[in-house]
Amino acid sequence: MKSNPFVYLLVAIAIASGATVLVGYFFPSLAEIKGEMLDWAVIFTAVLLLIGVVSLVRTHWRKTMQDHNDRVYSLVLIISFILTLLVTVPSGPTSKWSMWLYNNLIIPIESSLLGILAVFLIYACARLFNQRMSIYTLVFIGTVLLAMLGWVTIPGVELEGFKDFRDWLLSVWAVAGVRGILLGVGLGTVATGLRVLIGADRPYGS
Amino acid sequence: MEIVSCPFCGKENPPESETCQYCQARLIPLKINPASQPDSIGQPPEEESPAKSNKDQVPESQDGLQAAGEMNRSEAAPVSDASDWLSGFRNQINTQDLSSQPVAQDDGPRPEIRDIHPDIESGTMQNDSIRSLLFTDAGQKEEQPPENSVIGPQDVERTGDTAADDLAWLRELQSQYQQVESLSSAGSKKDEDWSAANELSQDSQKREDDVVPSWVDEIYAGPRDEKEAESDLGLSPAELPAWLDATRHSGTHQDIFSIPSDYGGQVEIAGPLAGLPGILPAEPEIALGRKAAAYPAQLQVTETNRVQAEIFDQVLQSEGQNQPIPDRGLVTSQKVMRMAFAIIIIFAILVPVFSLQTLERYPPIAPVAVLTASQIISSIGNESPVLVAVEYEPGFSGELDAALAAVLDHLMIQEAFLVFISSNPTGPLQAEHIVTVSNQVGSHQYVNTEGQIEYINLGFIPGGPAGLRNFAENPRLSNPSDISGEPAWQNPVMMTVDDINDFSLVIVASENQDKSRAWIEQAGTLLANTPLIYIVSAQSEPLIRPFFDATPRQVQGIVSGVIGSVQYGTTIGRQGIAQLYWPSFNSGLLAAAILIVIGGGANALLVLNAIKNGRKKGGN
Repeated sequence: MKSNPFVYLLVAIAIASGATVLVGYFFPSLAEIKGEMLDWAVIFTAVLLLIGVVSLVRTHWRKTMQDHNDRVYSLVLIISFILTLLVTVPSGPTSKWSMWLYNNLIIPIESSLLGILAVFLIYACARLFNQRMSIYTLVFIGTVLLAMLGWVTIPGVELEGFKDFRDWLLSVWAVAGVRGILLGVGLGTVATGLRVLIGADRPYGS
Repeated sequence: MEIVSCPFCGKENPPESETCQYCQARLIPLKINPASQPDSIGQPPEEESPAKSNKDQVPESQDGLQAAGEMNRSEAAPVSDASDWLSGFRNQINTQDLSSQPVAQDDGPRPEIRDIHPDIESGTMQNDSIRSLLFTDAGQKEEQPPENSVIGPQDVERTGDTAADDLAWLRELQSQYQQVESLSSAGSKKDEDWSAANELSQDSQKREDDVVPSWVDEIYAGPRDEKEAESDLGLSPAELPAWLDATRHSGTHQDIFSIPSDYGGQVEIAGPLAGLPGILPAEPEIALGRKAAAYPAQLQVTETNRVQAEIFDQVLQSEGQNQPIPDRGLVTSQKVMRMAFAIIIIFAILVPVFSLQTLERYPPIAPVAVLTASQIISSIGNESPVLVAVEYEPGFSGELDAALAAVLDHLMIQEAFLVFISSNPTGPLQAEHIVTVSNQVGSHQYVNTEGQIEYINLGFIPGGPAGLRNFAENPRLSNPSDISGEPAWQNPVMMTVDDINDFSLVIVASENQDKSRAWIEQAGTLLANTPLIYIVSAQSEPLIRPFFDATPRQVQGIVSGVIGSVQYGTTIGRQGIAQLYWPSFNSGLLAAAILIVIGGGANALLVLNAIKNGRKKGGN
């Protein structure tokens, strides 16, 4: 397949930018160039955020114009976007009405979703034996119960054993597992960075 | 337009082409049809055969061989014509007494054989001329019988001059044609004509072969000379076993050059061998049509395989058919169970709200991470700048608001100067929200007005990890103004901050492990003496714990979820939001554990019962 010559320009820009930032960490004299590159990255990301907002509205506007069953949801999104703009832009993002929208709409809606998620997770745990009966299911359910009981306090009942077991799980098993994950993430990040620097990985286009 | 593809090179050629214009391979395959051979032989010389048109394309050295081949390759001549000229040829022989009468010598110069050949090939010589020439030579040969049957190249000149060729071959030819005549009356006239003509052709070929160049004789003279040389040296020839001697080729070069009878009459018309007769065609296997092998259409399968195939076919057919969806009632067991779970949990949460006496018991001992965080904040002085990164989503406000409010309450008690920042788009609003909550719960009056600035909201940091790194290295350039657009760094407290290390404390509140790790990696590495405290949700605590347990610590304190907030409040002796949340949180947690135990146990019994019944059925 014939590659686009424009890709080579993108590769050159990516390698030069990455190498400049990387060298800036080792040589303090190049720190200013590194800071300048970081400023550009921040500005570009902010512009991309605006483009994302425009693209979101455009997409849902098209859905609204089409004869689609879910067009009402797109219409709600566009109306909400317009109302938020009308409230926020004139008075500022931290004005009284802006905070009212945030405190009385965004927080309750998102919190309700997480509340429903809690109920479904409890139900799924109870149904887990019906779906798959294995030793791993027993270990999972047992760990969940012990961790929950390690937090619970009941008047007149001492649950120190559950609390100690929970602390042991958290400080030994969980930390050991997370450290392995962090090491893997670190190695993967280094490998990905090197692939981008040598042009083997082109997340910006092939 | 029809295009003919070359069977050798695969390139396309016009449909009227006989040979490939690229590789000169034959496009129209030769078909060996003995019935057509007599026609070729019987073609009158004056008719120009298609092969003659290609004569100019062949090298001169091949003319002699080509001539013999072209005579055989002549096409589209009717058998009757051949019979005519052959009969005339025969009558001519009969009318002359070849055995006794000497041939009258012409006064004019007589053409030699090699001079006549091109005329014969080109067809310019008429029948009468051929006859006169042939029988004149025959008369001369009659007078001087040949001494040797094989004429060497050195004898060719003499042959033309002395006419020493005997006429035995003509008599033999005459007898053969008489046989042909006798057999021509039968239904197999064509075949007999072909045989006789073929023999005539072979005889003619033999005569042609007699006139071989000198280099051919030199080749065959070589082994004889070596043999003679060996005999001169006294070496006796080796005696070979009979079976090995039988395998040796004892023929002459004529035998070597002999060709199979099937292809003897074929002349190559294309390629480097153009003009050579008797060339084995390269493509007979391709050109000759074959009847496709007939394979049985029915599969040879066993009865078991046939039954299984029918079952498989039924399964495939059933896949394409729409299966009716069974009507599901509005009330199913799962819906009932889900509703029951929700009602029980809501009830468990609401009961402590109306009766706080029942489960009012807080966790007694605070962990080390909470105690360390409390001690660090207790050491924060008045008007000390404290950076607070609000990195959690609004949905986690119920959990993290309680934890962060307890810490902010402590900071407000210490009268620290709070600087809020966030890499989350909703973070700045969340910061305003948590300040309001902390003011309400702790009876504080932290405001940001023109006359009184006790905290600053720097707003949003775009760019993800790169933005965090940029802010950590140069916060003034990264966020020069606050969320309202006012200059942020003209405040007397903020003027003392040039680097992230100038903050007295950095607090990160997040439920997202990626953002938590980004702050440690991008900003935590630049912190020299500034402590870093994390306010995280219960699900993120295990991911931050390794940084707290490290040596030296990359995170100096952790306050985790509602229970951490309760423990922190207990440590500083304050009743915050967490204390309000705790009874409902505790009872809801206990109800959830009970539901999991009861529901899980019931489902396990059902599964075990089903397995037991299934085994019984299988056993029966």
